[in-house]
Amino acid sequence: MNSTQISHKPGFTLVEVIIVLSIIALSFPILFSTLFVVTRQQVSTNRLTDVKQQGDAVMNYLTTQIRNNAIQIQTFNGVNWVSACEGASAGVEEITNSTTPIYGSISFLNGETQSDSIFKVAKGQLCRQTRPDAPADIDTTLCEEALTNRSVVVSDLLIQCINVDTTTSPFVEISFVLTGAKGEAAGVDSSTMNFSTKVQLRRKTQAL
Amino acid sequence: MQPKTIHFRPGLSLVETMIFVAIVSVVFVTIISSMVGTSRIAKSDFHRLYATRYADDAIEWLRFSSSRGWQTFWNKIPSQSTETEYCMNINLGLADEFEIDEGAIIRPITSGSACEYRGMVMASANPPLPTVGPQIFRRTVKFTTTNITEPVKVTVTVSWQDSTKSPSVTSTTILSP
Repeated sequence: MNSTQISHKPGFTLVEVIIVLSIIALSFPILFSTLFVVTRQQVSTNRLTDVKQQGDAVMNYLTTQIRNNAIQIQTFNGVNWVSACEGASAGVEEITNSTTPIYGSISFLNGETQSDSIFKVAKGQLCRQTRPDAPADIDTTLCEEALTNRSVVVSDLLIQCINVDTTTSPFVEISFVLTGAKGEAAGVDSSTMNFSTKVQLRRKTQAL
Repeated sequence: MQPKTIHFRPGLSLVETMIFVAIVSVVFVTIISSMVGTSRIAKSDFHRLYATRYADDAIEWLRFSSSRGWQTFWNKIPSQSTETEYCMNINLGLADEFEIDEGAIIRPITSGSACEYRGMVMASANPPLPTVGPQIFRRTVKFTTTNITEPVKVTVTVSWQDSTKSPSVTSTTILSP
């Protein structure tokens, strides 16, 4: 007669399996929701860092250019480009307003080369372009020289001149709003910043 | 007749189970706490970016005010200013006049008028600037000066309320006649 060998391998009972699954079901949501919050926070901070870096860069560029090289600021009177920002009388003159929109011109002298430029918002980018014959010729879908990249959206661009008196060089005020371009998403904080500065012209602008 | 062979594999003992659960718990808690810590740092960096911008904004505005007319600027700084902290909780419009007290653009912080953690809100900004960012900041400024021919030291502090502490960003500059 052959002997009988019994190999006893106990498995999990149904109750044990249910308990394990319950513990996993409780702990995973905690883990993943925490991971979600951390990721969203990092995304918010990265976006805002980008917004601030680009805003500071644009401010630095415009401030340096206007302070050191601006020789003429002009507005369009419907027929011609005429001088503005000459400090003749105290007050504020609007040069450029992307909301209205109004476009003014700033002439820069780099060495012996003079360039007449306008600043505009084209498809959310802050752009510099050669001044056309009239503001009506400005194409807001084209960007000759982009000062910001597509990861941010520029709005409310305002350039205006603050005349103090006849003896003080005028100030040029620049302000705009930058927003992270990817828009709002669940759990991501808004990444919008205001930027504004004033530049005192080093040399009084020249009349045309 | 050969003897029966029975392979008996016992399960985990209570002690083994407890050790396993303890190890898993420690790992789990460590992961969660490090994530929470990372999130807190990221949040703090997020607020610090805004705070730095607000501090720069105030310095810019004060620089403009002093460039616009040194005599006028200096006259508006009270003589006891080294001891006084002023509240600047507004979006600074570029055309705004530099005022202490009267225009309430910069007002002294006294016992009766605390400088609230309410963020930079629109006031007399011209043109009005949109209110953006978390409304948890407060901005204060201190002036240090001796006489009109000497430079004025300006210290701008932006602080905000975090969950447990009140971090701040300080920016200092010298405005010269």
